[in-house]
Amino acid sequence: MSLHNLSSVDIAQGISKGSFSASEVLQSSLDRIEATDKKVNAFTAKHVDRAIQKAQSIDALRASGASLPPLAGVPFAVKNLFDVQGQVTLAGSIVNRHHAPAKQDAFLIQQMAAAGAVLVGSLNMDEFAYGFTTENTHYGPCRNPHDTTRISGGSSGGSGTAVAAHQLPLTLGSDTNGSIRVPASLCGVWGLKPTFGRLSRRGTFPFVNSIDHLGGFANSLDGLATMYDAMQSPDPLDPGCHVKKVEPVLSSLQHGTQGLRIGVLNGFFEDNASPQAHEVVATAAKALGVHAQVQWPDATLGRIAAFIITASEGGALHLDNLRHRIEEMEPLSVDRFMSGALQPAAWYIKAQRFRRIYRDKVNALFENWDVLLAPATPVSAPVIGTDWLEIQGQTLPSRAAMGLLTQPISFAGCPVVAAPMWPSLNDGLPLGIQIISAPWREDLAFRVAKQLETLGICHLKKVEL
Amino acid sequence: MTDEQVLQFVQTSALALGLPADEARVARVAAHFKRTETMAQLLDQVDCPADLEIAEIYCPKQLAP
Repeated sequence: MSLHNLSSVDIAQGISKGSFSASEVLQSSLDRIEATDKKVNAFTAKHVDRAIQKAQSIDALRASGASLPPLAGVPFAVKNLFDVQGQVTLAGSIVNRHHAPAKQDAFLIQQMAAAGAVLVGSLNMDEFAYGFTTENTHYGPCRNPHDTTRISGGSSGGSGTAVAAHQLPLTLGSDTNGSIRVPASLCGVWGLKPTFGRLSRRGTFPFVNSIDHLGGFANSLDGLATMYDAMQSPDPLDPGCHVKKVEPVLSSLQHGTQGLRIGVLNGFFEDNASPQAHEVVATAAKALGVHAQVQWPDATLGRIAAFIITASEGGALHLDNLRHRIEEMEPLSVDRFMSGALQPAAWYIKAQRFRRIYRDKVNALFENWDVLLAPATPVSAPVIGTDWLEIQGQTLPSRAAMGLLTQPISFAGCPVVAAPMWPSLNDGLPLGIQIISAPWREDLAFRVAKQLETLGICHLKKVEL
Repeated sequence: MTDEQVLQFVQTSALALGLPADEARVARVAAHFKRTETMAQLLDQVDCPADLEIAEIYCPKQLAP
């Protein structure tokens, strides 16, 4: 049996039943990483000793007869902007190499560990999360497991790649403007960007404090839901964590879609999408029996405001690096960081004030709808090094355009499940959809995703590496 | 701003912030800045009432049940 192909749910159940041990699962994952990572470049570090120790502790727990937590023995890895005790948090840079090692794990890693999951390593990303392609100059580009000449998406490219390459069933990432949803789409795996403020960000290297979200990737929807439930917790030590209670989604996953008001986003989300992106949304809508077309309010302005805030906060955060270590920064993003640092304050403040208007318009939309569908990316994965994309007659900068369809959604803080889909005329490359619900209603997006999985519309595919 | 004005703005602002401002870098940064300026002009047309607070720590609002 190839343990590395199993879902996290199957792994946890198998360990619980004694079909295999946590140590065997870990070894299978490590072997798979060893066999494939030279081809895809997902990992920047492996934490083998602590992983072995954790897996052995799970096996000992089972041997004692104690009940096991929900992710017992499930291997996972994290984007390398998560603090891992004893390791330097690189955030995709070489600038951070001289920082002191982290004193403790990031809050979400602690939550995963408490649920029994086994941390195996840290993953490749765009430097300081400013990119949608993970063409990292310092650590090498992350390569798409479905075609290694192509990008994995970013900035959580290693997180999407590791799941798509069947190295691990679960990974964690961050999403400011699309950095979970873009790689999930291009790698053909499940992804979750929860509501802004849902999950604690404590112990992660920031990019844009007023828009950063954390979330995850999985090779099964049940696994994604289990992981999400395990990570939820109020965190009074993170001022950006707004939750007061845990709201699990696993228990309502099978509730179906009857009675849900589901629509398809048109306008901006059609105009900036390729025929393949149109096809996947149409396929999902048809399977769900959805015909309604819905206009997202001020999508262009929402994207612009998110763009300006991102550039300003990112530039300000790295002002010292720009002053003193600019030659060590990522050539693909350093000029954008500098441009952001120079933006007039009036642009930034206007964008922040507009966000209040935008929030109210988006919430008004969700008075009439429960779940909305849109493509996750305008196109499937471009070849590494692509500078420009042609989308519906427009020539757009490739690295920015990959987030066109995700940026307006996250700016409102709405939760999104990114679901893996496979356009018919696409050389076997995936292109996912966004299943979007109102803020704090992740449960509804998960229910629609479950229906699409059950109907066989959304699923992973095996890769040959 | 004209292209020349954007170049001058980038050069002067970089000096004000203590950032490296060699000719080649200024030209590359100016190209990014010019694109952002075009976007900012669109956003500038939105009427924001004076009492609209800044979303410094943004909190999505829950719908009424």
